[in-house]
Amino acid sequence: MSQPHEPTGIMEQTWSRRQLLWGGAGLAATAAAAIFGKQAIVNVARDVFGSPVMSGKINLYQFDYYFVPNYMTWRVGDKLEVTLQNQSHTHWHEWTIGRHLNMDYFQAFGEMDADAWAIDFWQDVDVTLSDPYKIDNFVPNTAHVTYVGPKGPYQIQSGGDFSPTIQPNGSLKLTFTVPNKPGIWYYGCFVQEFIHYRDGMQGIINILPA
Amino acid sequence: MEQQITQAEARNNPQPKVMHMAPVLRGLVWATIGFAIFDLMTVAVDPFRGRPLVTEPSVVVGWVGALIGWLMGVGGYEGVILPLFGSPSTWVEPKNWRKYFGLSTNHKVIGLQYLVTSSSIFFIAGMDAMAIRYELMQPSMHFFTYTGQYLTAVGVHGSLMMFGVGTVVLISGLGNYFVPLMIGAKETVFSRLSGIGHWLLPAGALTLIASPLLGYWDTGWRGYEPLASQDPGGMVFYYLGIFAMTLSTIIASLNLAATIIFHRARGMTWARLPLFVWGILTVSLLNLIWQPEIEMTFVMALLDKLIPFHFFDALGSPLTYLSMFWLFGHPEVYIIVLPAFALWNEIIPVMAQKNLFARDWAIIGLIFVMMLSGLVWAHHIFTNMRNSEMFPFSFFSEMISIPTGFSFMAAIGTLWRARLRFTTPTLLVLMAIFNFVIGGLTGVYLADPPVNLQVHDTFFVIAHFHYTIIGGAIFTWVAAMYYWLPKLSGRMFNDTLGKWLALWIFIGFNGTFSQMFLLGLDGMNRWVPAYPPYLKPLNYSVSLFAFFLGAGFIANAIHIWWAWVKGPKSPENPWHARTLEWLTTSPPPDDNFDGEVEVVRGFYRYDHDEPSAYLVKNPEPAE
Repeated sequence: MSQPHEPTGIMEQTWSRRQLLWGGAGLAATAAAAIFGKQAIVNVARDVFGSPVMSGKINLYQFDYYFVPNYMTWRVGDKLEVTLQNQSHTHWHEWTIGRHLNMDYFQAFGEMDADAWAIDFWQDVDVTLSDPYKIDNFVPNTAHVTYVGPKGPYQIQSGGDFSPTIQPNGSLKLTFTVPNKPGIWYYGCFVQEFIHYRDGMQGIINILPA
Repeated sequence: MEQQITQAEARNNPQPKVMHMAPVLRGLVWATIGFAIFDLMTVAVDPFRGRPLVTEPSVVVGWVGALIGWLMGVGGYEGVILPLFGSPSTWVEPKNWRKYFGLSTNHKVIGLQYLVTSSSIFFIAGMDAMAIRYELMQPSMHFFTYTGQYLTAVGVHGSLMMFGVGTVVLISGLGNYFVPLMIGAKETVFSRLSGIGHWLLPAGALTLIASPLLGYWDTGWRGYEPLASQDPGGMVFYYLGIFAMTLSTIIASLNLAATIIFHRARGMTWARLPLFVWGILTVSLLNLIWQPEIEMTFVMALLDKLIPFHFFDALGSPLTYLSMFWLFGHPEVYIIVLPAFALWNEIIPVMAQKNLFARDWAIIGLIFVMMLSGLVWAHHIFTNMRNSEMFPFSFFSEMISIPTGFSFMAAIGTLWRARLRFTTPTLLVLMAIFNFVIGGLTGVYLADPPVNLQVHDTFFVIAHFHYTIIGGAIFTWVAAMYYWLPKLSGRMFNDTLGKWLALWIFIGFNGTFSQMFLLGLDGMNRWVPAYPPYLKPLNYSVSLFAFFLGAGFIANAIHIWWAWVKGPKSPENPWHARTLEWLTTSPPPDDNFDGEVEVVRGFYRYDHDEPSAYLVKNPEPAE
């Protein structure tokens, strides 16, 4: 004779209306905060937990349409070697750093991003580029660039911010000493008329004084 | 030789298991846990460089985990999973108001769950429409920051309205509640599956609402390729959300079609089947054919994005996606409106107390609309076709107006010289018929290639399909809510107030969308948050009417809610209808009829006083 099974499952429900209302309202508020206040929540979390200073070798990955990481803390005077890698299978991506997006009044869309940053972070910065792989075009702007190996792969062009543009699965190494420009800097990818930027290819660099 | 059979003991557990958390809340908690587990597992086996915790593949698998957690949490664990593994599980449905917040097998509870969920979706998607209209009050962007935000708002509005309201309210909502009652059934065939099916709807809607978290998507409810494959991650939640919502519709349709075929009362022959039941049967067949088709298309498009395959991009064929979308997409609009046609001819004979004119033709019309609806899809993509290819689609698109006309013929024939009782449902049905005439006639124009190519992707098209969907189906939904309110609640609404509220939405609706025809002819394009300044006055006026319309829907909802809870008691059969749902008490008991139903004649003849059906009451239990 086998043992009878003990019934499982629910025979009765006793939860209260108050639990349902408060629980539902709480979850709805959390969801609304997540959808509309994502950035504010992230900022608060960073203020509370901080963000460790990155030095030495840094991997910066580009996806459709976000950077990993999208927040970095650097320190003035540190020597950095940033390996920029485009992980997209399909999209070209660039990396620009600066402050104050130039805005223009455009009849259709009101105030819109016009032509990149008003202040280019790379202005007068010494930077060495190496190991180029699948580079589409590169705008040095006002940076002092040293190329390791032939310049051919870079397709150097003028106009706009300092911006290496990388083909799908391409990569580039940038070696430089963090200049004495402390404070908050923004980075982004402006490819396809700023749509990548608007869709989320944005990041922040917090540069600490030496 | 005698054999002894060992049986499990009766379920007499002395300590019953008690649920201390509402099933919906437990579902949300389990969904969160399910998402975290499946997402992290995916990230562990398929890490992206830089190790982000959420990637496009991981969010898809995580979503599956969340869906499993959600469905188990709302009652699927005890109701489905445990029994599946042979455990003597019990999921006792509460007898009180708590039954609406978890898994149910009662078709009336499920119908009400669908109606409430769908009304909530209607409210959210409606607020979304208000945001769109607010943006369009000015020629340049002033409310949304980026065009992507505006287009996401448009896409979420359209997808929620089509898959969460249009396909749902009359079929899964009123259909689940009334079809079994109208055919004299005591339950549906797949009642547990049907109960699970409802909970897919809020899961899908919440997925769509959460899509901006993964990035703004641009494609609107159509998900056109190759744009979709270029879009940010939010696109993924578009596919997944609609997958859940359409699965809910497939389940509801399967259950209702099977119930209509197998659970009819004695004497309920096909020739006597009520019009609304015919409507639900035809529409269920449409759903069973076309909803799986769009689901598979979306699975392909999703894989296109994740892997990536090249089904629908430049290496494959973007136009194939367009055709596959509209192969479903055009039947979808008939899915929405067929039950409305059926309801007109359900309500009008009752309100006129007059024989339904040409009943057979009304049904033949429904069936032919169902069949032709799969032959017209390419009129949505004339801009991508040669003249010779347009012709058959143009022909069938115009032909479908003929069986559609049968529904009108039956309604008008019944109204002819009728002493119509001018009640709120009557008024709303007449308004729906008026609106659908405009939606339908402009549809015939749109089926002509010369007109089609001129007004393609303008607000003329927006006005046209809103006339069919809001004007036809949503007005009929409101009419049906008033018509069946005495049955649903046992209470009556205020008829004078009801008529004023009907007039409110009629003015709001026609003010909004009739002007949109003009906007479209003046050159206002779809899918743009900004436009040339000369279009501002008309847009401004459209927006004002749209706000008026939105408020009108809220006012109607409040009135219905008030009547449901606090309205005066209604007589048992206030409209003197003959269909079976009026044979039982209001609201109906758990097993619908206190006895056996036998149908003896059709329901649409008012030229005699003989009853259409008898209820043979169960004998009183002996003392």
